[in-house]
Amino acid sequence: MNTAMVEAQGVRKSFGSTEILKGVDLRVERGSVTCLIGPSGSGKTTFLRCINHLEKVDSGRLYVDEHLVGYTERNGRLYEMKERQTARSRLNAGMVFQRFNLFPHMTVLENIVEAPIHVLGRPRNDVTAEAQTLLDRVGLGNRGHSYPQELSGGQQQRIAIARALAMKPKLMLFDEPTSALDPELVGEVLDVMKSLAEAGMTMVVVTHELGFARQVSDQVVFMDQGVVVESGPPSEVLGSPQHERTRAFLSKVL
Amino acid sequence: MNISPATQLTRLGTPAVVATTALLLAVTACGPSGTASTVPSDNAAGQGTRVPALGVNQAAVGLLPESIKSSKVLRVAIPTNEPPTQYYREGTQEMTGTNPDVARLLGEALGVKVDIQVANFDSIIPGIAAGRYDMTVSSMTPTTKRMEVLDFVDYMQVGSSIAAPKGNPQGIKEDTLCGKKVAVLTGSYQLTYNIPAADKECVAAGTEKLQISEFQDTRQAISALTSGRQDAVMADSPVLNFAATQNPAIEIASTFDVAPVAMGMPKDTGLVKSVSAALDAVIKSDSYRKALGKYGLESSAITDARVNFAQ
Amino acid sequence: MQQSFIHDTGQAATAAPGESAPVVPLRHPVRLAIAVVLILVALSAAWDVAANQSYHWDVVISYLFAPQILAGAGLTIVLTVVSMTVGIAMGTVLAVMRLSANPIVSSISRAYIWFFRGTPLLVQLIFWYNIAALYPVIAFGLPFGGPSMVLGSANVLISPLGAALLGLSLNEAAYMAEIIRGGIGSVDKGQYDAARALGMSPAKLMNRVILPQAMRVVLPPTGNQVISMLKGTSLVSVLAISDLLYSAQIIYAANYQTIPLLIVASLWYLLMTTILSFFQTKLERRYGRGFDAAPRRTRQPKTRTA
Repeated sequence: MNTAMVEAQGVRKSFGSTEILKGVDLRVERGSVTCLIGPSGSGKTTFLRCINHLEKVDSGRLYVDEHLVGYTERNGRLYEMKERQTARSRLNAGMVFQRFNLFPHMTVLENIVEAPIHVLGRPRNDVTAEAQTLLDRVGLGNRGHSYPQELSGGQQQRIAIARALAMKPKLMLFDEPTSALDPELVGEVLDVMKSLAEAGMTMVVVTHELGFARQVSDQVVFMDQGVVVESGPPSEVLGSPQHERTRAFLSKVL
Repeated sequence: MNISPATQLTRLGTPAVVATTALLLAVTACGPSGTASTVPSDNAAGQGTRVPALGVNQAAVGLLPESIKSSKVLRVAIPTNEPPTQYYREGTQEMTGTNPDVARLLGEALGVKVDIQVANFDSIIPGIAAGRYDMTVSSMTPTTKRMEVLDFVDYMQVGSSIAAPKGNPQGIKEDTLCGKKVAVLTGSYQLTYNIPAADKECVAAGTEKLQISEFQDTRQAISALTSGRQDAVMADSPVLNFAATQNPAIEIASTFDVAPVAMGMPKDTGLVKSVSAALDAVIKSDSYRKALGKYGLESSAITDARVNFAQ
Repeated sequence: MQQSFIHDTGQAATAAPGESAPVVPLRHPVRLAIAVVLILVALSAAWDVAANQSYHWDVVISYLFAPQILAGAGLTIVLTVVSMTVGIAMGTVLAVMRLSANPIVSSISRAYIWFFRGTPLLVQLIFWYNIAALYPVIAFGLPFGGPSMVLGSANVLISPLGAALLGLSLNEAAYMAEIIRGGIGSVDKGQYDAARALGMSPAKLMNRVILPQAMRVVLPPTGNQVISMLKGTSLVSVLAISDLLYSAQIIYAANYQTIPLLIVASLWYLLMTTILSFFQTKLERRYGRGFDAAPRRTRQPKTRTA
């Protein structure tokens, strides 16, 4: 029986005539942290977006929490899910984006409570109390009534994490969460992510922060040109990489 | 014969100078006369009317204001296309119809060139106040209210007609209009006089008043009639009778109540004196009757060009 | 040679080390002079207009509150409010349809917008008013001679006022659709990602996230459209409907006081436009919060420290 939170089998994806994912096989165990690294264009962000069906998979199978993402299987055929079903299935995973994507027309608190109230239909009072707790947890308890525009990048990203957590997802996806931040603000976001990992959240992180990957992740996956080249514990992949391409990439980055 | 070079030059040069000067003057004279839709000026030789030209009336000329005496041009504002009262001769930019034709006869009597300026009704009054026009010939009914703004001299008379859909299914006549939907034109004689009179009779007879809709344009009113929105159209008979000849979907149910229409001019210029004297001569002339006759409107001729006679 | 670069004027207030030197703000004497001149010119122009007899201010005053003028103004307001409301509602639907992935839906929207923007409003109004000439009876049913349900005579179902509102609303919807489409397009694409990642359905996403942000971009041109519509309603005069301008025209057709009555109408239009502009500003401020640098309750300096 599968206990993996995420399992990908031969996932392929093309944009128009360009094939981006050329058969990705990957497993993410529950409660573990997986970091996806690789050069730009390798397909890591595309694969991440396939996990919560922001991008459609063209062929292959992708399971999240043992459910097939985006399709229902009947009689050996895959039938595409309707938009409403897809929307529901996204509730399993929370996502944090490179450019934060907070709702600018709402305050910080409103950002966090928006989906729990309007998607899950939960009562406002409960949700607001939880939202305040989350804000405290990310270190911004007193900024509930500010607008995103008034905050620094690091603060906005921490709020984006709180917003995703408010939906109580089983899995958190991070798409280069610190790439758009000034260097001195990166640390505060990585700290929040570390504490999340310590609390046992399953996380898939696309990142260039190899220090973080080495410290926090259980599995490092190196992707290049649409396939997984090498994967394993950080000490192996980062410390003594097996493949030439991995070595070449790391030497450029480190 | 020996002609000195100087004389030779002068002989050649003078005609050239004269020719150039004439050319320059002609070009400047042909410049735009002020309104968006100008029409080339007609001269007073009656060529626009194809009616015998009138002789100049010296008494009237003597009464002209100084500015017109010296310029020898009378700028007359005429509203836009409304056959047969005023309309463009087919394929040309030349205005013809009762109003332009009578205006030209007036010009002949005054010995001046008539410069016909076609303008939207709304800009005629402000245009007169601004001095852009000397007067207007636009089938205006002289009322006391309007006499606060302009002097009037009668120049022809016009009746009211009622148009109904072909076959007149509702049996419309001028005394069966109570409660009916009747279309009239804004500011028209029918609106000011015929309708209130009809309403009074209806109320006295215990029936409903007329349901009036005011249109700005005869054609809109007729469209509303043919689409069933209105039961009848009441307007000046020359216009409506002409429309009925062009539009097989309507017919004239009756014609009644003939009343004069007048030329309007600003009060402070004193132009009214000379126009009145000239018109007295015009209406006695054969040309006047022939001009109206061109449009089948001989019955519209008047015998007394009254000044500021309120209707 | 040791020369001081700073030329001491000696008398000047050179600050002793440790003291702070007060800053004298830059003065703008020429600006001030020009402002004074402009104010004087404006005042003298206003005085001249007020004292000028040719404006016939007595006539203006006497008709300013005439019952026909008030009724006309009221009708203009009603026509504007109704047609803009319907126009904006329909325009939103059309804009969303236009952006739909469904090709039939988006083509219908495109065709509607093309047709109603492409024909003159005057023609549309005259068409709806005289519709009985083409369709004397309005009925719904199957085409090609199938059974149909007769609703009634066209002239009865669509009153003259109804025709006016139909014409104005349907026309406005086409223009608003394009404005709203532009507003939707101005919203950052990342917002769609975030909303979808949070599990929002397409409808929720449009209503809660996209449209509120689009409002900021949509408001200024919409304000323009409303004010245009205010004047545009005067076209209903061709349907013999007495809006504000036509009421004034009817009066001056009878008494030839053209300019004073046009001034009466203009004063009323100015008043209505002023009120509308005021509301537009308020709305822009409300939808701009979070985006624009609006004054906040707490005067915090905008630094990047936590």
